Amino acid sequence: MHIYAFGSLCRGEVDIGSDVDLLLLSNDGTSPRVNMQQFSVYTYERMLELWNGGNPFAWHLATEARLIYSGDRSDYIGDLKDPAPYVDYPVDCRKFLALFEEAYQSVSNTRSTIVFDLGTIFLSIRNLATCYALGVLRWPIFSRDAALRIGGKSVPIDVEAYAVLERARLLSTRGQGDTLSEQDLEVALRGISPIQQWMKELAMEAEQYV
Amino acid sequence: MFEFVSRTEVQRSILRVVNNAIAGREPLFGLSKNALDRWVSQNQLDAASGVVSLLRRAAAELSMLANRSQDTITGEYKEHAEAVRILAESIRMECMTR
Repeated sequence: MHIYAFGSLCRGEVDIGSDVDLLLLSNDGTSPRVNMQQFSVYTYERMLELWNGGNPFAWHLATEARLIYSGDRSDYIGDLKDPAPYVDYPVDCRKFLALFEEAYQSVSNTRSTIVFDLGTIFLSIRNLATCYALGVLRWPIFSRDAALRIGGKSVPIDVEAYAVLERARLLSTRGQGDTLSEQDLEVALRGISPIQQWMKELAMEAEQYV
Repeated sequence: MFEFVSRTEVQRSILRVVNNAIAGREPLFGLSKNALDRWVSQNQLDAASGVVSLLRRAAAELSMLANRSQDTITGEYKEHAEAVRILAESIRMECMTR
């Protein structure tokens, strides 16, 4: 069995609400000794499939996973070579565009899920940027702020609106932070309008790059 | 990756039902354990009530699905996904009776 940490802790993007992402590798993909809700659990065989398929999760681990425990003193992931090239980025970019569009439509129709929807928009922006960067730019970047860190392709959004989206994500996942005020919501709603075009352009570029 | 989108849709539909049925100091922001804890606390809800119990089960199933997000074609993943769909319906029924 091997246990790895990955995510914000390993990137040094730690804040007061940071959770710890843990990966457990075992022969049968289960372990009775851990809470399965706290771990991403995979068999070695499945991990190798993800590696050989160039899956973004494999790239994520290759970039930042840190060994916590090894049953045989080996570093299973560290001993693997780079994952295969990521080829599914056009499909994945399209899906995160769809995720954005559904959330955008929802915030236009109702306020009952607006925090969740703004948080989903934050997630879709980040993940589309990550898939685009890994697939098109060949740049494995898994930062929470990946969308702001891809140079000329960074998301066109003002800092205040981005901060509100991030707060919405933290509220909907970690249940942390101050409730969003009407003013916050207005700032976010104004800020997300130009994002749709940015997402469409990146998704289209990903299609054409193949 | 498609399951990512459907997981989000299910969460949104549950949140919509709950927030339309239960008006409190704060709406439910998400279906994570921490978001649920906050909602229960802020609105001084009975943690043992039917709807809270169902939401906790749905949150646990969604967490399992998220942790197995690269295995969406497996039977185990499909079982958890089906459990979430059934819980979503139970939550809808529970909210209708409030």
